[in-house]
Amino acid sequence: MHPDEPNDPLIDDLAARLREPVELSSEVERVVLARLRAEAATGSRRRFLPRIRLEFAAGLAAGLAAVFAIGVLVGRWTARGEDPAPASRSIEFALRTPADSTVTLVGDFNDWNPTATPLHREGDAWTVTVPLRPGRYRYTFIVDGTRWRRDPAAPRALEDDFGAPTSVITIAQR
Amino acid sequence: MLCLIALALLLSSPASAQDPRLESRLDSTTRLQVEAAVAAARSESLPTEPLIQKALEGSSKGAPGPRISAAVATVLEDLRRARAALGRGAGEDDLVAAAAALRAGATPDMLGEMRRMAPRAAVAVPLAVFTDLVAGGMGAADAWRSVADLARRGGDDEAFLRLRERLEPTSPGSAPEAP
Repeated sequence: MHPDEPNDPLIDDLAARLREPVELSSEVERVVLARLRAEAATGSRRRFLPRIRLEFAAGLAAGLAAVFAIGVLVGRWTARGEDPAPASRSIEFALRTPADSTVTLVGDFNDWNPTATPLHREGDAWTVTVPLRPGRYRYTFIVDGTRWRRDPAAPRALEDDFGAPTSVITIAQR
Repeated sequence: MLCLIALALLLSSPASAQDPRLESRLDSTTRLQVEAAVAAARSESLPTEPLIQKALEGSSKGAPGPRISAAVATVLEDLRRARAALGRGAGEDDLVAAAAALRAGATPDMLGEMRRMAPRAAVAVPLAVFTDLVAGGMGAADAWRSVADLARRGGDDEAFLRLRERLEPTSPGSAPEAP
């Protein structure tokens, strides 16, 4: 309705009736309020749950990180408390053989790599010095790339699974 | 955040059984079998390096894959027996030496006796000397008697090595050459 239009008595009467407050029974009021409370509770839980999950995940992550950090620190502390790693000793390996070209050393200390530890010729002997920590090592020589020779100056390895002669050296703790 | 958790778990977990040294030295079937043995050893807190070295030794010596796998499985079983005989507190060197001693003819009871004689000391060298004496041709019973006598008298590692030199002197130049 435009403000300049004249008032209609009928409409004015209806509007006045509609503006009068409507009295509801106490039962209606109780039911409506109960529904409102229920919806309010559901709505707050819906908003609350994601927050709970986020906080739980953050707490879990922080807990795991703390456990990991403590584990690392305890490990380092324990390692400091233990005996330090035993020092290596320089062990000389030698073989007298009429090799034409090369003699190499393979064993538990160099991953049995035929090219890792070549021996050097000194007269009719071939020698090499290897740092080894205390322990038991199996090893052998390869002469000219094809012939496997065990060390005649060392005990024979009993557990020879592959048919080629193998020696063993035991380095004691000092 | 989840990435950080995953990273933390990854860093705190044991290393994978995959070893780059095996990749270029073994065929895929053998490598998988060796890696399975390594994983089993790791899960049982047994040393893994002896298994890897056994596989690499077989590779260098040109052994076929099944033979390498069998040798690695034997080492794993020896380490298990050694652990059972020496107890869960045994060190890595002790377990390796005990595994070799078992192959040389020592019994679990012998290993247990050595453990009791030296409850807080390493037994790697006495057991290695026992193995070396047997490998040199001495009977297991005689070799054990010599080693056990010295252990009862409180011999140290150097004393055991001197015992071996006295009982089994090596003679340079006498070793046979492989064909």
